[in-house]
Amino acid sequence: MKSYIIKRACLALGIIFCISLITFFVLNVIPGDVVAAMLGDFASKDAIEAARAQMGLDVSLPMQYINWLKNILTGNFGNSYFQRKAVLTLIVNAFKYTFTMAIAAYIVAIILGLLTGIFAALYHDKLPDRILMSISVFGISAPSFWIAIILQIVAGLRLGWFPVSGIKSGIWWVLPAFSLGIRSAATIARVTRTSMLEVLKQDFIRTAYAKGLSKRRIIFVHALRNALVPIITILGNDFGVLLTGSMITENVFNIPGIGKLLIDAINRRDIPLVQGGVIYVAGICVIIYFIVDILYAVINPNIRLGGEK
Amino acid sequence: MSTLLSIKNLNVDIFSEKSILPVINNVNIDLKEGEVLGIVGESGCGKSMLASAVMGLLSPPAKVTNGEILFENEDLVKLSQKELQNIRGSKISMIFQEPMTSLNPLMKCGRQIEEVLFTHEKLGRGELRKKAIHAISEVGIGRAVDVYNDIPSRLSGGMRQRIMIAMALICNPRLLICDEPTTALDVTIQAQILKLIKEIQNKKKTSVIFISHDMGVISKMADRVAVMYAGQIVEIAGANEIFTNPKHPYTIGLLRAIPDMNTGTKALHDIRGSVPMLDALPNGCLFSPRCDIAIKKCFKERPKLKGDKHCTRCFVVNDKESYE
Amino acid sequence: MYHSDILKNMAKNKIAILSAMILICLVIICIFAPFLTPYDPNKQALNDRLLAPSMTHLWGTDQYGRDILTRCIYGCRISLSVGIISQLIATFIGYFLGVAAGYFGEIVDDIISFIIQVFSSFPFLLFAMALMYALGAGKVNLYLSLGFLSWAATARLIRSKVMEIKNQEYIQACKIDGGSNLRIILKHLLPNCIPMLIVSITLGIPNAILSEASLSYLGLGIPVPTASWGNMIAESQQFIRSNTYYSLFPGLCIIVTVMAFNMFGDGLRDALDPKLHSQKGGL
Repeated sequence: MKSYIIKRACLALGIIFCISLITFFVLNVIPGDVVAAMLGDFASKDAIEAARAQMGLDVSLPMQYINWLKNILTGNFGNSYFQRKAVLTLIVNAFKYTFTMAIAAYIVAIILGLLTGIFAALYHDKLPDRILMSISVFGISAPSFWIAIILQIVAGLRLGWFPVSGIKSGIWWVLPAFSLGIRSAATIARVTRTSMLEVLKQDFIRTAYAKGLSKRRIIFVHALRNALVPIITILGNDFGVLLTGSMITENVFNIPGIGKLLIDAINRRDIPLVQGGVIYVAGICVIIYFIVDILYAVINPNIRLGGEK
Repeated sequence: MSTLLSIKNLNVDIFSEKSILPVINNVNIDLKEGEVLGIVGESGCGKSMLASAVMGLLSPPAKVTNGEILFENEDLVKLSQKELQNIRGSKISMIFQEPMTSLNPLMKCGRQIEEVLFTHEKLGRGELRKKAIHAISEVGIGRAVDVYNDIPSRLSGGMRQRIMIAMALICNPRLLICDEPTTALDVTIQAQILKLIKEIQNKKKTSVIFISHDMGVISKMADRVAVMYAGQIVEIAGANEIFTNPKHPYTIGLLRAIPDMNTGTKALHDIRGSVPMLDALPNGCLFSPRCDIAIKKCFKERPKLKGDKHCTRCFVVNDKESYE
Repeated sequence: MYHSDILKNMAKNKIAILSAMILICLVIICIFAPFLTPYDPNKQALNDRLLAPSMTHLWGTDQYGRDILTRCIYGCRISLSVGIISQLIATFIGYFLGVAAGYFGEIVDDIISFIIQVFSSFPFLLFAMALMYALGAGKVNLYLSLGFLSWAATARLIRSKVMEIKNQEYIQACKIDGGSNLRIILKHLLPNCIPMLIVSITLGIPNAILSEASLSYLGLGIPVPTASWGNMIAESQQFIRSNTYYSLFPGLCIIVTVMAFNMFGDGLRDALDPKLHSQKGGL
């Protein structure tokens, strides 16, 4: 188990390194002089040069990357060009919102998805199964920001059940969580159903019946735990999807999360903020994938043993 | 000795979209306490269905359409799922053909054994563990504590089948159903497992229904043998009687198909043709298309199971006996 | 498998047939867009602003008086072209990297597998945003960035397929006869992978369409005033209190298109290779 964790950790570090490399070079080949754009049309050449030196942009690109990486490793993401604040502070503040939203959506997605999937599997090929699976196809195909707008219109404006936009207390999270979570719930439901059906056909389920166990115990202890093995990977990937999905949906609800921060930064060409935001979110996603892999090995001992051989 | 299980006029049908297929056709079996009944026949003749019916594990589209399964004078067919749950694993247990896939791959073997006890006898944690480890050592596994903590994928097929046996016997059931328990195992392991089942059966006086397609295995295990063909019992008699004096042409064919090392003959015997499809059963005796001694009557009418201790379902045999 | 078998399998799947018909309709609508509507998608008619659906404007009009149905039809052109072209690019990259990894093995495989790992573990949309920011909004840049970011799954599938078939006798025989690697890759491996490639393109398109919509919604995809479903939804957002239909229709267009591709792809996958189904999970 230990060697497996170490192996996966090395891989995760390698991936983060590559991502930093890609992020930096992608964002630094942008045409146009950023500093000139920032200082406006009337800045003198000397002023621009001075600003470049101050921002560390007067050395070669690889050197800039090395300096940037060094700074990031020490927690220094630089300063935002426009907001004149430390990038990290801005990001961490905004990320709180994005993360909360992703978690809320995640909870909605898991509960809704697992229950739907199990229910559909138990009623395989009967009416409940067909109805639920049709809804799930719809859920997979709809963009979350559109679901968000429709929920705003129906549940917010027409029915008046929930506040439409902004964040003030718990109830303000309901619509964002649902609009973001529905798509993942649909995915989870479909995978759960397939996986449950697969497991319910297996011999050890018949053994469990022969042991005189109750149907509830067979489904939730024996079948579900085995069915969860493929679901866990989907769940891990889904959290990454939700984090980025949240960045779009929060624009609909006017939530001051990373998505809004990044879009504003992009519109103002605030490179340090964009770079910092991308690497921060990407890093968190990689860490999440890493944790999911480890969890996967914990619930499925067969993988771990295979990996150690 | 009193009768433990009595199957009367049992019919099991599979309901498909187009037709109703009779998988088990009017089967009558009595099983005494402590007796080992062998059920033998080719694959697809309804042996496993019969076992499932006794366990109450038939799932749609298969269904008992007629008859009774009396166990301790209670008709299992009429019981609710809840009542059946209480009987399964405690009074009637079952061992399956595929030890490799019959255990939950994610659960420790010990937990899987304990689960049966816990379900039927609500014991404390420590007690459960003690009994489970005892059960593991009882089926001839040396490192019982290690195996208790192992997941099934670390064990060989033979070991897993031993775990299955421990699991089946932990509540001291009165009836054990073995559905081809050794078919998937190596020959040497097979002999060990058979010996184990026989020993435990002798010790605990459990009644056993032993299902196999292998006459050789049956001969080692059974006190009495029922031969099944296409959902019917075609011959039933004491084990000695069946092996020394088989009457039904199908039984004779099965016995001849065992490769015999002692006689030194090199010819392998088989029964021509194959088991009829359930949706295309012949009009007359179900075995008639494959039978060497069939007479005209055999193609028109279905024979009945006749006889006292040694029953046979065959016009030719029964007619001959009634002349004598 | 023979083509007739594939067609026969497909014909049995009613949902797949229905989706195929929807897709054909969409393609026809895209091709004949100018003939299907009397309106110009970008011409403003400030007297007809924000009209509700009526006989003259079936789906109503937007804040500049443009016909929403017309804009949705032209948006379909964008969505389909982005979906198809970006996935062709992705499949091209994915096939060659996957084949290289599976065929050459060893160090080449290690490197490519690592790159696949990198590309499949970073958040897709985030990098699409970064790339679109770097390249600038626009149709061609969407093709490129979505294509560049979504090849990893294809490469992984192709890699394992090639590993499975590269040791078969006829390929070994071709090697012994002195066939060049390129010849083997194009003449022998490609035909074996075609079913997989078709399936992965078909199932990749809906994701690309959704990504395009998201990026356009954020203002990083198709720049206004060109109509795209995503930027239409973004523009509609300020009018949700007064004009519900404005938001509704572009979203429904996305759903119908994505659903049709998903279900057609599922049907195709089942028809071509039932085994593939279990590999890719139930999605």
